[in-house]
Amino acid sequence: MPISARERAAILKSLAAGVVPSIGLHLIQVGRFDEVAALIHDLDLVQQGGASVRFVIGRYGSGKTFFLNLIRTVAQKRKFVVAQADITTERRLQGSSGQAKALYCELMRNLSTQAKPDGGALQNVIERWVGDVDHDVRSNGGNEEVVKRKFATELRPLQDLVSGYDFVTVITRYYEGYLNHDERLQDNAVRWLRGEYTARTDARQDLGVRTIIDDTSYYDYLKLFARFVRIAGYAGLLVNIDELVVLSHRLPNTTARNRNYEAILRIINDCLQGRTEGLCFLFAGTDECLEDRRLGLYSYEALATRLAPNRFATEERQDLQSPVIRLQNLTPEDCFVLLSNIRHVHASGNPAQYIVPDEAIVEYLKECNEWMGSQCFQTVRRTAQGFVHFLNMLEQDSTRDWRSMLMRNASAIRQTLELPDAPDVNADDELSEFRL
Amino acid sequence: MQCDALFTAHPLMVDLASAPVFLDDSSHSFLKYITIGAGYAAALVILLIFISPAVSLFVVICVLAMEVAVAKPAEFSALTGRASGKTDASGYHHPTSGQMVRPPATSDTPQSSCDNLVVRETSSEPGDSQARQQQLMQQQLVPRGTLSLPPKGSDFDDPVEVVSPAAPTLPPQRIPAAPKEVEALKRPFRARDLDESELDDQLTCHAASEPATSGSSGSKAVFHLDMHAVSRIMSETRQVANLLMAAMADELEDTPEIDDQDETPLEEPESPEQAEPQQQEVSVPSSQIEAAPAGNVDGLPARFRSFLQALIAKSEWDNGEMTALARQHGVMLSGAIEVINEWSCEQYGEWLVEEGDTYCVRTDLLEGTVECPLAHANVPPF
Repeated sequence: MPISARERAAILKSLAAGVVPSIGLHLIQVGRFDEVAALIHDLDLVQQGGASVRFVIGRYGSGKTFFLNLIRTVAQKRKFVVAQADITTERRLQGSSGQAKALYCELMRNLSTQAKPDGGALQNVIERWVGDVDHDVRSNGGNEEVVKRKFATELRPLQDLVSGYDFVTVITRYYEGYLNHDERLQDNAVRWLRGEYTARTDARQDLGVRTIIDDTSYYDYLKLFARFVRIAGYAGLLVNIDELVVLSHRLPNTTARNRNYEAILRIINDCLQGRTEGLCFLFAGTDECLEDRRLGLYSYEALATRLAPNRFATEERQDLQSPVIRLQNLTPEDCFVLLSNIRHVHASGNPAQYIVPDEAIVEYLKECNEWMGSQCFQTVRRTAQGFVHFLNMLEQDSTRDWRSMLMRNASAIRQTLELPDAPDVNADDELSEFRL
Repeated sequence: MQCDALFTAHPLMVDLASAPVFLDDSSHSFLKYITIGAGYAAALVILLIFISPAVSLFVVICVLAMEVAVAKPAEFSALTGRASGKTDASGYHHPTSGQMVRPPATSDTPQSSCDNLVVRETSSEPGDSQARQQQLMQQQLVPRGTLSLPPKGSDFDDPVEVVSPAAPTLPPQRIPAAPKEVEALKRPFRARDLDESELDDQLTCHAASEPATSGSSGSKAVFHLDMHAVSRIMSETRQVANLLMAAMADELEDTPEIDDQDETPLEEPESPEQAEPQQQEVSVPSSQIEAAPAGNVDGLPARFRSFLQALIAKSEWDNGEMTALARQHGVMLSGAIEVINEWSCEQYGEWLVEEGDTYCVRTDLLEGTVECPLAHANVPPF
């Protein structure tokens, strides 16, 4: 697999900083063939107009966030539009004080495509389709009015959905803003699509629509947007939602928790029963988030039924058709392969340029094991971070042998390994955390 | 053992009986009150016989109250529970700090439990460096939530110092101490210009007396790699890599064309005469444009090709320039960048246009594909 300079730099810099790389994850993925295959199959299904929902479940450090990012990378390459957000107490699936809408806003802000993988792709997606329709009509001798009528025709399937008519109106307003060089009108249209309007009167005044995206309607707009991106030529919409544990173990109010579980139930029902198309949901959470009978998803009877494990499945062989995919923690051998992959990336994919032999990786792991014990393999962020530092120093000082470097810098490695885990940004942002 | 003494008794620690406040001799007081009470009961009987009952009762009450108040104010306070906070069987709350103060088991028993009260008083003279060092070490190693008294003549403002619960401690089960703990122990030594070697010696000595542990996590198995498992994982990883590569490559082959213009034959590149007026509007020298034929841009929708040609005339554009350029070519800017970047990702694995405060164009990617005017015009890149 070729390694571009951009991917190499992104991977090494991210790992050195202790965060999950946003690109090139497939280059350092270790094992998990069945799980990856199952998710790719889901993407195929969605690409063909289906829908899917999966729960990626694993302990802390098992690689849930990494796995989500990996699937995001694959989806972007397959021309999916990807929306990603972490759940927090202020951003959740259901809420009466703007929490659900805040989650929608975050998803829309982080909207990404292959061409814009870091988020902020909403305007690109809209303009791409609007520009295509405009070009198509004008090349056949049509004018602006014909273009607007074409919008309505092309988006007729959306009008069957909740708020579909307003959605078409807003897209038309965006086009009018472009024609009239009215950037304010274009910005207002984008604001509406992002769910940033708080008052219906403002929306009506600015855009001539009667509705806004709020706590109760955001999920309908996600379904609407999934249909839109397919019309716009993309494969579908992938929605990655991380930190599900916040719902189960940080929401103190049982009623609020159950309402969020109801929202999840609605998503599961829609996706599994085929009531939506072009939409794939990926949730990530911990074991207790799923299995806790008092607080977890299993505390909600309808979810417990739908997410119940296959009784014929074993720990070694899980049922990958089930909505729940379980990730096991890394073993020392997995860690060895991971570090080998990092070395491979560091050498830009050329084995002749490997800066250290396998023996050095083993010695490094021994050093880590000496100071971290099993944590070294269960939460490999700091292990990978230290290893990248080790490689970087060797690269910069070619006069030194890896053995002497490892011996002399054992204390430095220990310091790296003893560093406290970086605090999660806004407590929900596990994207800043490297897990495998 | 010298080191064990760090966590047990200390020569500077004295019996609680010498302290002004104590609470543990309640049985002794009880016997004393019984004796006093019996004496006064006998006197009361005599008085009742010979003097009027009302006068005798008044006299007895007054005498009793005076006796108790004069005997020991601390006991009086403890009995009434008013002076220094509520008292219970396990101790009392310090009146100022609110911390729970617990009595020692016996006055001469070494302090071995972290929960016991340690009331210290030093006999050292102020300025005695050795004593101060010992006292300082004792302060650092004292269990959490304990009460300590400052040395006489010390510069502490508060006569009673309660060691903060956040003060660094050395739990006996976690020797050797972590570097951060050692650092925390050394910090006050440095602050008072005391010799740190004493602390180092004692820590080293104590660490040697403890069974060795291999690290901070406690349980460490001998590191062992199963090379068969490594081979299996590597094989699986290769399979995953192939799977991912196929999944990402499939898209290039299978995804339906987004723009119907792709299906039309590639348009002939614009003649220099057609391109020149447009390029002049964005301040690109016409000589450069004339030297820029369209190259291999297969896969890029035809309507974006002229925009791309113009785009690579500069390696950096500001927002206004880019918007104007897009309008000149009849494309919407964000949509055009989306399409061009997607195309360049598929062609070169990199993004051609990087959005930020300005738009940066990776003209180096197109070398040999679309000729970049800058490459021929000797115009220094921005």
